[in-house]
Amino acid sequence: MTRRSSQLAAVVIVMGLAPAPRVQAHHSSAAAYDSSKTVEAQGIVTQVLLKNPHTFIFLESTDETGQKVQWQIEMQAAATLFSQGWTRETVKVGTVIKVAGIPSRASGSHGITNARLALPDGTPIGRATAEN
Amino acid sequence: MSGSSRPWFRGPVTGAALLAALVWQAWPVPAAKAQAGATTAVIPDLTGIWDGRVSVRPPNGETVPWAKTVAPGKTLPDGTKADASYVSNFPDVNERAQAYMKVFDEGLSPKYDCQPSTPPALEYDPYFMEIVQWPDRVLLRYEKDDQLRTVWLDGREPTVHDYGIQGISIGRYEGNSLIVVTTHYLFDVTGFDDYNGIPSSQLKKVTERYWREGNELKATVTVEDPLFLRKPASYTTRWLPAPKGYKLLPFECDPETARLSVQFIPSRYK
Repeated sequence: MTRRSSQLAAVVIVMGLAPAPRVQAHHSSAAAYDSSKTVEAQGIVTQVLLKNPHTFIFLESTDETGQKVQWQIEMQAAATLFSQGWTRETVKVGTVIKVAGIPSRASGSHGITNARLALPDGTPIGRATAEN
Repeated sequence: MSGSSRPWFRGPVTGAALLAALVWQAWPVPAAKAQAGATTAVIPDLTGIWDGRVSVRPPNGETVPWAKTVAPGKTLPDGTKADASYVSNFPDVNERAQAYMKVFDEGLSPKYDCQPSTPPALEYDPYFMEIVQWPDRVLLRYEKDDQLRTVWLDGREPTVHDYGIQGISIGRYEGNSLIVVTTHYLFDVTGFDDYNGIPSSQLKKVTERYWREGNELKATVTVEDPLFLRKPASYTTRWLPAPKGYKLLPFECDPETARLSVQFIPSRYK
């Protein structure tokens, strides 16, 4: 099943932005995320927690019913991202990005991991993969 | 890697330690004789910053480094390929451990509150680590969780005052290897493995053997725990030299983001 979210009431189909290859680190991502599913979203970055043990990017989007949805994109540890060339400028608050990844399991939650990030025009953000 | 740099002795010294330091500095590292309890040991040069990221070895998970089966051709934790003769290294857990594993749920794991991991998981976390060899001790510094383990080479014996999250590590050089025996850990509900929820007790004993193979650092990590394991379990892994000039980064685990993941896990308990 694929959940889609639209941003600013616009229906967005994320083209060519498949989830990153599955890579595990730090905790059991299988317990938190369902790798049999994919999810795509586009929205405005509202917060970036470039931290250890995991980085989180918060993305505000709008679903099909017009409700605001705050996605929480769980990324690798900041230490790992830095070693891959990320900086604090790579993803900034206020930027519109799109994401494709694996959705969280818990009912009502809006988590994404194994995420590929891109600008709306498809330009990859950071490395090609930014998986958890 | 800074593997060719010589360890530099700092801090207060005893006469014996000073003598050992002078001997250490006077001999080329590969030929240096182990100074404490040595037989015919040669001190291996393990010094440097080592890369344990997923580009060097398979990422940790439910089946790595503890696997029941590995398909032929798949990369093992030590960087070699499995063949048809692969023997499972998954721990033979007793009924007590099985009971803990049965009731375990992910949110219980102390790592979600930044409690550092311990051997045998710490060595296999996908981060850099640094080894410093001094005459009377070896320092194992991990980027993950900012952990520093001191391996004492001075012949001391552990006491009841040594209980702590990383226990106490006593080392010796043997053959071309560094042998590290660590005891006096604290009970940890995920102290053996945090992917399968296998606990470890205050009787956990971890024996590590470190040695060099060319530019690789290799280690075999063996765990004994009579309260949870029916027999010892072990894995072998490797590190590669860190990129030139790399320095360990502070980890500074953030409790807020550490626990954020738990909201995504369906809880087994209310």
